[in-house]
Amino acid sequence: MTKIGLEVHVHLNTLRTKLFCSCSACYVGKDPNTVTCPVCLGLPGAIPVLNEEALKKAIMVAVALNCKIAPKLLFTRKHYFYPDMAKNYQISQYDGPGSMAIAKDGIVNISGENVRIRRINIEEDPAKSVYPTGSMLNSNYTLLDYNRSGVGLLEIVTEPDITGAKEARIFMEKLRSILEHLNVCDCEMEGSMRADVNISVEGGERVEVKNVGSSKDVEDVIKYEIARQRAAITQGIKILRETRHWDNDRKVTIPIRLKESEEDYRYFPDPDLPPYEISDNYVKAIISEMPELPDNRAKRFVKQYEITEYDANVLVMEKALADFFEKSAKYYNNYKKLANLLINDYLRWLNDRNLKIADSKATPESIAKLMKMLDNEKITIKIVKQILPEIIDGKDPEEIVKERNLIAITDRSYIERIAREVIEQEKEAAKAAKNDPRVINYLIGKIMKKTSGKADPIYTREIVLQIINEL
Amino acid sequence: MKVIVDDNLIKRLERLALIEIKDVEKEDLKKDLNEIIEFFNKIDELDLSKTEPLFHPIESGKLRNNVESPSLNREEALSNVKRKENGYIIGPSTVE
Repeated sequence: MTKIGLEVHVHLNTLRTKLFCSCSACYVGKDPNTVTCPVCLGLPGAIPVLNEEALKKAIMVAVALNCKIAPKLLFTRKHYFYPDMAKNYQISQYDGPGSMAIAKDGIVNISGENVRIRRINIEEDPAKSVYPTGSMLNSNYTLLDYNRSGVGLLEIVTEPDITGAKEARIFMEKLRSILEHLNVCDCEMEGSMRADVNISVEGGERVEVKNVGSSKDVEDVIKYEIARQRAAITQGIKILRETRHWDNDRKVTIPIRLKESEEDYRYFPDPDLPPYEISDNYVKAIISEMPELPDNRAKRFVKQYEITEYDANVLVMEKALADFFEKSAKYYNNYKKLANLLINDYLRWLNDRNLKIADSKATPESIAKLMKMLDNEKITIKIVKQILPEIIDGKDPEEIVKERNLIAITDRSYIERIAREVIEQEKEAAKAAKNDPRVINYLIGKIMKKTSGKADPIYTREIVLQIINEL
Repeated sequence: MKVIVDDNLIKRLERLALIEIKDVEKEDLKKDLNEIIEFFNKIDELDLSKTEPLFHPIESGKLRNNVESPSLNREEALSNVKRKENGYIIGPSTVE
């Protein structure tokens, strides 16, 4: 059986400051090494002090992932030599003497299956390594930018409960939605969610693919690795425990041999960070301030808007989409139709073009106007789909329809005239249509083409059926 | 836990600390290590079966508000750095 476990690193990038110092946590786009201080540069004698907001966010995530929360906040030094960590240790958390993870033993439900969460750690991010050739594999030195050093991270580790590539992607998307609902992470930012993926297939040992940048890439990595490992095993090649790197351009994994041995991190409690008690009341106060989580929001959608569970779950998978649905629902009350348009047309159009919801300039008012024009039979569903991209581009649906004369044709005699013309040219099809509904749709399509999508579809169908029956 | 100070231990420490220890230094180091371990072994003479381990002399730490304060300017931040390139610190390659 294939076993997959994920180690997801989440940037606490909604915090104003880094984890243990008062430097800004917003380092993106800043000149290298301009957002540092003695603490995050790892200068001797500098004392780290934890950002309280980071603790609160970690507790919220622990609650959302149904974890047990530690009674004490304890930090550990994880020692290794690497140019991205000037102290030669990372402040992290570890289960061992005098030390424990902030949370353990959680569960996340993804499409009916439980994925257990082994633990959540709070830790600091190392500096950013930039490779002069663009790749770590053939650069003979590394350039270091300490702006990122000390930014807060949560490391969320699952048990190897994930069974396939698609499940892993759904897990990542659900986690992302939870993090966005809790305002823990702006996951749109590049590198804000990175995963180390552990994959083993039957008859082979565990292979780790490090630093995978998105849910889609996690899916691709797993598909690739399962195929590679199985092919090797059937050819009698042993799969040994190793670390690999995901080459996103070539869509392959390649083995990497890291210089630093990973077996002995010499973990010990960080003497600079005394324990901090996490009382039940402290946790209760945080829970009482917690925003609504996606699972609860989906349940509310089903109740409040009477949409299907499936639609509700699709909407809440992306917080921005769920927000847009709720805002639009204030102006338009056929919620089922609204959900349908947003999921099947709006979201799909954006996804097909690799665009994000944030890239859309459509307003809730414009979506409501569009749907109302459809309901009032002013425009046809074909026109709705046709002009949606322009609405996403920020245009007003009423103006588009007026400017381009896209108002639906409801004049029965006009539709009938066009229908007779079409059927005259398509005699064979018209005969076949008597027994085959698909051919009826073909004829309707021809009429739609002739009327630039403006013929009322219900009238058109009625008229076509009537003419065919006369034949 | 009994620690045996021998060449294997020195080799391991050499690797973990990423330093090279000369043969003449090795004997001195073994002597020092034995003395240090002997000093700590005094703790074993006590009955500690009812004593909880202590990891921090201070009972409770403190937290910091999520409020920004100015960072160092780059010249200050990199004043101890010997090798630089375009505002970056130059470090060694990280793969074999």
